[in-house]
Amino acid sequence: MRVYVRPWRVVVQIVGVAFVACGAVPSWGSCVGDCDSSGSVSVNEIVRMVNVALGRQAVALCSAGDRDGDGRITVDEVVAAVDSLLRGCSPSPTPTALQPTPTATEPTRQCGNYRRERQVFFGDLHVHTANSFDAYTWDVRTSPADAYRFARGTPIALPPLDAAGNGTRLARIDRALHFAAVTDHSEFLGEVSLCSTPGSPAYDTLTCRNFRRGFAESQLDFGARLSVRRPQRASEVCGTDWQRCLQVAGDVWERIRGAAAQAYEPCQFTTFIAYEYTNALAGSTLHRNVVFANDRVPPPVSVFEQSTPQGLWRELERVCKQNIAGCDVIAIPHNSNESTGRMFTVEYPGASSIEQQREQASLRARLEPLVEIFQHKGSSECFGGLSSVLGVPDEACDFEPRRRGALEDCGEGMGQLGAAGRGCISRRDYVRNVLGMGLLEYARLGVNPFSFGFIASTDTHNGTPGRVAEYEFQGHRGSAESTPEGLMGFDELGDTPVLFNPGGLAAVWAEENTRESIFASLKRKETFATSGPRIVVRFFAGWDLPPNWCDRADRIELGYAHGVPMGGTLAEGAGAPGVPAFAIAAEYDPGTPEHPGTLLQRIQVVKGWVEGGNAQLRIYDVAGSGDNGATVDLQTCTPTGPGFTRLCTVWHDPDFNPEAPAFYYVRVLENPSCRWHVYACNQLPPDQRPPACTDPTLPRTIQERAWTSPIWYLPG
Amino acid sequence: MRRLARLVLREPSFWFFVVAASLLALWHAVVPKTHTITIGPDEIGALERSFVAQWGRTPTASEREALLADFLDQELLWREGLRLGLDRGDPIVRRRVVQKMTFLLEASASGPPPTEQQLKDYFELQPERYRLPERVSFQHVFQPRENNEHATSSNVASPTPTLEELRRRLEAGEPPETVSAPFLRGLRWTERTTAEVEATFGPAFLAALRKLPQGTWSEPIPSAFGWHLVRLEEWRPPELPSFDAVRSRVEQDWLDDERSRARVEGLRKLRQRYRVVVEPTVTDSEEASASSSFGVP
Repeated sequence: MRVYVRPWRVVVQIVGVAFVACGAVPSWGSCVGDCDSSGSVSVNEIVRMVNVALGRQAVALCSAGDRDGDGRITVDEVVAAVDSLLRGCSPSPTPTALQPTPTATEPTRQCGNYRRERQVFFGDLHVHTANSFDAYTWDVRTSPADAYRFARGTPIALPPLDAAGNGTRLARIDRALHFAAVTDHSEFLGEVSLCSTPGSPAYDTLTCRNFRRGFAESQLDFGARLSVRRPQRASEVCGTDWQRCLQVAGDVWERIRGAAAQAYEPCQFTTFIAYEYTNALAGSTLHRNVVFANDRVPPPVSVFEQSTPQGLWRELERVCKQNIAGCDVIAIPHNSNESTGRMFTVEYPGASSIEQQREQASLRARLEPLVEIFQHKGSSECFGGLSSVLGVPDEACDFEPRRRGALEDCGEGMGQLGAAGRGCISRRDYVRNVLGMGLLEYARLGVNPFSFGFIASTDTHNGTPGRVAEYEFQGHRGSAESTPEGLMGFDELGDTPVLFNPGGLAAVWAEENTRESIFASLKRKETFATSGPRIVVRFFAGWDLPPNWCDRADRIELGYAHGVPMGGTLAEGAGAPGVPAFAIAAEYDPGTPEHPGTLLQRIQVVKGWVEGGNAQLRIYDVAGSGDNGATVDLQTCTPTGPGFTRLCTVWHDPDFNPEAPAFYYVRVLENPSCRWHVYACNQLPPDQRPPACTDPTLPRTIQERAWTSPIWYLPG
Repeated sequence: MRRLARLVLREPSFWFFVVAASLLALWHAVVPKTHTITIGPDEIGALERSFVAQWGRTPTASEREALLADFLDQELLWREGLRLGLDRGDPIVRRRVVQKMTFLLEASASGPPPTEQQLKDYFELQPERYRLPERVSFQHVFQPRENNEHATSSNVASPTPTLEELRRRLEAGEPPETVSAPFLRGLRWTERTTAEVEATFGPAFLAALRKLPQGTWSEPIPSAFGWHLVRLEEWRPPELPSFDAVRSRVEQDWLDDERSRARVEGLRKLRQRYRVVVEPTVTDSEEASASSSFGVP
């Protein structure tokens, strides 16, 4: 008899599961399975419920799991709890406040080295490993775990590979990072694994064989698939329903998560689970790095699931923010300098009313609080000599441009093939102009869709986060940039890697080195970008910051108490109308004993505002001096001349107009130093130097720099 | 067999069931099927909450009505769609159900929660996973080097004090913050790794720090920034944290391990219940043989 009872029970349970899973019992409002009344259901709570259901534990341990109150936990109640886990419990209203105040988001203290006044942490939020399709074709075999180890100081071996498949060039970071995120391309995670695993059902397909032949050979079936309006996977590899690739991608994603979890050491080193969404419509860069707050993450979204950025945001909002309790996420756009006007378009697809436009604008603002303003493929701040931008010329914009030569100026329009270093130059490719577009939209909608804070990162495809030193740049694209010719000549696609650079760093002001604290900094934009050096900068704006702020021992406390930090919004002054004070302090990067840092030259404030319905721009030198005579010896790369280890000032805007919405960001410039290719050329015997070494159109010196997130002034 | 049949045919309750079944069949054939959709306070509550989440206010009466009507429309379509089998072959539905099953598998196959002893054993088996690096706590007072110092209109007022003066003020009990020149990277360094200290102040500074006695203000120590008077507070060598200090991390790691073990085990068991047939779709026999050996043990 007993033998027969069990299958029946199983059948009843399976029917129960099917019944509930199919939604025949409609959604439950309460939070089934929230054993600890935390407002969300965790996997641990599900495990506890199952234990109760199996009689291993008492039902009292999770009375919230016993929905019908019958003193038992049944399978359908477990399924209900799984539902709560996936969708979250009763959704709580999300406040739409434009700028959360620091006190409102102050995370809980976990570390002995917690600092209420916040401390600076340097990191890299754009790192590719062997899971990225392009990195793999450049013989990169670095795993996410290797990349995190590299960030903390462990050397790794870079391509070219020897006969045994090991790298042959040693790379080591000069100084450990505080945080990092591996951001492999979410597209092709499964394909890369299938095509590189002998014996997989796709291994011998033509697509995979081309993939293994190299980057140029794989372009047609990989890179090129990302640049069409409706991207499709290769069914030869993935099957017609793509399931094969999605399944394998799931396993790879699990390993990426696992590596981030293992490498995260709260208080010392923070990792984030992340990926890169690689939309390359019309050969232009519409890429975003998607970074999660913690380990509550949905599967990665690729351009094959969501072919537009709007689709990506909606999907992230729906799946992460609404369906998974505790999940939080941001998307960080990068390389608008290659987007030929396509990254930051003022358009609201499908919106038929102002209300709907406003909704889309705030979704964008919510999900994209930051922009990566600088990296391996150049600066996206501004473009030297771009005509018809309202405002004064800015010679400091001639800094690591991604594209050069006779490029078509497409005004505020669009072009194509920016990702290949071609296409037209659009005003919208540069963040400075986009901030102005944001103010115009703010005036129109009351919502600013482009209120970006700034970070920089490397975009290394070698799995070498924070490898930013100019003096020994080893390339960021595996074997493709492993020789002087590869690094300074032309690449397989006719692009010119000598225009690339070692990339920059992301810096945050955070209470402590934990995921909670750093992610909160990213969201409130208390961040700055550097072109590589560890320059440190504070930036506050307030109505009554004292004129002697620079010398006050309590200046940081004063900054927070009487002003807003970088990334914040200054509201109209209460009482008597005045002029806001901008308090700025910067310290140089001392470098290392072997490679000392470069002294600071000056601090600039870049101001943008709206007047007469137009976005305007002005640059102010506020501390230091642009013509201090400092220079660098191009043979030895030794700098000479005066400069500053520290600069500090309290600046008042001489053109302040209380009626005009404005943004202000700070640029800290170093004295001139050698560009990376000059170091590389100097290390070669003269007869072995590639033509780039004597190219007069290529600048030999650069001024490394830091950019703070803007502070906005929004009257009314 | 024939006796059994006769026995059954003679049994009145058999005929009762036959008649009942016929009536039921007739009923179903003649009377059109209706199903019940119940919209209870739970559903209404959930609809209202998601409205509040989206719009930041409670719905008005007419909006509420529209919400319910919309919910009902969707429920009707959902149920009819299920009846027609539209969920089959849908990758999104499939992924969601797979996700739920994975959770169930991870949950149902795992054993009781770990005992304290199990966690301790787990912790002691792999101490390196939890070892803390060497850390140091110190305070310092900063004095920039003359030649690189930038004079703003506000900071030229007082002549630069000598380091001896600063030391005297510190020893007289003045707080370091007011004695020191401003230093953006912080005057109090607590439980920072030696790697972090070296990255900021340089190796010579770290070496000097290692020689300092605890609790007194040092002689000036140089760095690339200038001079530092340092008071060492504590050195903590690389150490294994106490079990209690990392207990929650250990528990999480234990559960993660258990869960992935449960998933693998659960999938292995499921696999035994299915016969997997891989039909070669291409004539390439090489690929066909490769397929059959992939992913299926």
